[in-house]
Amino acid sequence: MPRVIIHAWFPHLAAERVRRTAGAVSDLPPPDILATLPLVLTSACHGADLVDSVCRLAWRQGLRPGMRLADARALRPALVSQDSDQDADAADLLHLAHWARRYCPLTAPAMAETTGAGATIAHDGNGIWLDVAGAAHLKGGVRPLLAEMARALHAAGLTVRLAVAPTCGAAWALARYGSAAQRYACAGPHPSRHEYAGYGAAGARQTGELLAGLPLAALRLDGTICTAMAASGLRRIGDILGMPRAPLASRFGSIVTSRLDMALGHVNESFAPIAPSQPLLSVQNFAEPLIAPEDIRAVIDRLAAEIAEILDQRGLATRRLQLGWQRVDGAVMARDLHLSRPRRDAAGFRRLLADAGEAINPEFGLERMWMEAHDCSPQAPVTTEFNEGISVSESRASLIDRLVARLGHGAVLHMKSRDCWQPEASQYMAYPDMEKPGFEDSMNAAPHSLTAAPRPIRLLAHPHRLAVVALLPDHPPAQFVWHRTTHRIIRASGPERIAPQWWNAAGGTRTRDYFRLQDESGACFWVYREGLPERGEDPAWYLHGFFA
Amino acid sequence: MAHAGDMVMPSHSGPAMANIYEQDQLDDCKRNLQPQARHRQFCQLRQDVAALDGQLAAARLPLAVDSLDSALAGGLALGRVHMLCGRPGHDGALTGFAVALLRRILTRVDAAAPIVWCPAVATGGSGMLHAAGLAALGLDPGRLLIVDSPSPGARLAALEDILRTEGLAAVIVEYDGVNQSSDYWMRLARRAQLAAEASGVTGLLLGWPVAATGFDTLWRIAPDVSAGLTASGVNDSGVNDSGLVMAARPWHPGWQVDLVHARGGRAHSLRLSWDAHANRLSELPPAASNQPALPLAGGGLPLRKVRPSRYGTQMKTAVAG
Repeated sequence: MPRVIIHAWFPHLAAERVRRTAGAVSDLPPPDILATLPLVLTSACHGADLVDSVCRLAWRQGLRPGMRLADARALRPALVSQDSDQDADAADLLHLAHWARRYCPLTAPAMAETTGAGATIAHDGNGIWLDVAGAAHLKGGVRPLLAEMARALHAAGLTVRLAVAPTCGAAWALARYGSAAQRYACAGPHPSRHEYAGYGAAGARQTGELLAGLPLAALRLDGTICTAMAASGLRRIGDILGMPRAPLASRFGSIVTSRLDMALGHVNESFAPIAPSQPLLSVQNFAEPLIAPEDIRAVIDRLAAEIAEILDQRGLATRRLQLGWQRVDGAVMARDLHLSRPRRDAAGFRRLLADAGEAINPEFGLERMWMEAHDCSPQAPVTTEFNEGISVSESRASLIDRLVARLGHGAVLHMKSRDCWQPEASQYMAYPDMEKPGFEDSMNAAPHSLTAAPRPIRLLAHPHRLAVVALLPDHPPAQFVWHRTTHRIIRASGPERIAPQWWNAAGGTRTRDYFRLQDESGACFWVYREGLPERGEDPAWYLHGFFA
Repeated sequence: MAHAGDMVMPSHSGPAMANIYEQDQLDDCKRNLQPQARHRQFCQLRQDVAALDGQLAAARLPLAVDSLDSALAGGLALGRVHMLCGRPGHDGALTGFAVALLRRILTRVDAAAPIVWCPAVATGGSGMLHAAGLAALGLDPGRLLIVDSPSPGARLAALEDILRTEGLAAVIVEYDGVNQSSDYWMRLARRAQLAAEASGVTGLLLGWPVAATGFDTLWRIAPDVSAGLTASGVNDSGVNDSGLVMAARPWHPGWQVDLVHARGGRAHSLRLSWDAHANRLSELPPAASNQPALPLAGGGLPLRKVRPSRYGTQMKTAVAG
């Protein structure tokens, strides 16, 4: 099968990333000033800072990867230097390789080979491979495809050199050292099947002619080897094309001949294409619109079983399931199902989705249903056959899932206490953290436990303003009116003074005096007076809670 | 009929069982027995009938109050659903009594088992659960799993699902004043009972008095006027002696408790006081005559008819509406 390899080389990938994200980094000049300055990225090597990557401006001003930073500064005192970030480079390339999957199924990032021998190899990576054989005609041929790629990458602010060749080695060489005509020579003007025929059989000779004028470094050879060969008068690929193999290999190493064979296509070289990130999805299309509720339920069961199997095969477990459906009138709807912990058991999914079928209104029928797993995490396989009863924590977790599926996300909460004297601020609700086994996070010692001051069992979320009859200055009420009923107080105790947190109290919050009151029917109330008469404040009375 | 009874109950009280359904012999039996012996006999018969119904299969949790335990036929049935009603203004007392029952239930279950509590909406008139108050009554708020749903109907609908879960300590659902037909309650009660029996989880329903039947027990809870502050020794004049912070003494909540209906038991009414520290319920002497009658909401509530009180001892307050 003839191959059409495209190599996209990003000579200034790292520097362009720095320029893109310059606004977020504080130790760089502002972007508008930075744009006028040469930028280099450096890394420490044997006690010296070596330039790894340069921007386009720096390249034009004569700065090259492999220079010492000190030399570069001597040339261009105004340059800006940053530490290089290999991980970010790799991530960028991987991202680009994923992006390139829109053109063909086989793509891969070309990572820098760590030869360690010389600086000339340092920028060898920073490219992506594409094998567009059989896919280029979808874009109207190789040349339109290359044009579209170049346009898109330039629009993204990336400098790119694209080259197409029948072999990986040739594409690599052309991308870096070829002229524009050479780089596009193999693209062919017409998107017919015939033009590919030449790549396989006559390929070696044609490719050799194409590469003859390029320097030996284009064969991905080490800098020391290139220097040694240059000393023997060998500078171009054309110089060694016609030479006998054996002396070449014995003199400069077998790497020279093997690289040459790779570039010419005598030896097959391939890259490892990235695995596409497949969605965790199972879909059911229907020939006839689906209306009957029992059919919908059956489909949901089948989808649940399928998605559970997919998750099981990949060793994953999901925290969020999405059930989607498309009606015949084109409306697309989905329903999310949040799980309290990662899981992948079909029976559990089916239980949770038991009443999902009722939520679907098929109207004129459903055309398609699907189920997608989100927020997946790896989970070891679990044997379910041998444990007789469901374990307690399993049971609790599935209870939470069922309740959340039924009542909505955030319906199941935990009561937590806060270190605060204000009664309404002393507790809050939190989502139960089922990752921690058990429910043992008990109340930490809240301030109220230090005294025996009473606390009501129920607290009003908003204190209720009361009309009271009370003696000034600090007597408990003799009676109050609540819900149109007059409550005559027969017993009272207090006060317990709770001052506001002055450091974060909202304006207008005042000191409260809490009383416990019992009316003649026996009901006990927690009532407070806000505002101190001795400070000249007008006291106001509020009902705040009920005792047992 | 008599023959069938003989076959099922061959050993003890066989003849009585055989005759119980025949009205004339029953009357004969009543005439001949002394009141005490008659009461014993009826208790025995009730238990036999309950055993036939499978009602005694439930584990009983004694509440350590003799009269109440005998009215409950041995104690609160675990793995069943109980309904606790209280007037709208008495949410504190109702919640307090539920916590008292809960603390007794917790002595029987796994120490780490969570309690599912579906409270009424927090911004409503009955307020929200207060963690500090629960902790003061000896209930660890960290054990509570709060199910927060604004609709009482949704909470009741979830009850069955929750009750079916094993490994829970108890389930408490507050239904406020949901307005539903007695048919709805009947169906809910049946389904909830079956779910609770399967899992062994006890359920408590808290709310206003409603026309509900079919639950294992039905209680009316009201605050008790003579309990509360006096038990702590605080003087009646109002502010306590120190005049500042409350005295560091425990105080015991008290309730007027009305057991309106108990399956396998009988109606009963008493005043209870609860020592939260010792987790001990104790019966208070009957209130003085000026004690107001049990307040009931809205008049004619179709409660369960109570059997003729001739055979019981304390039936007078178990009224219907």
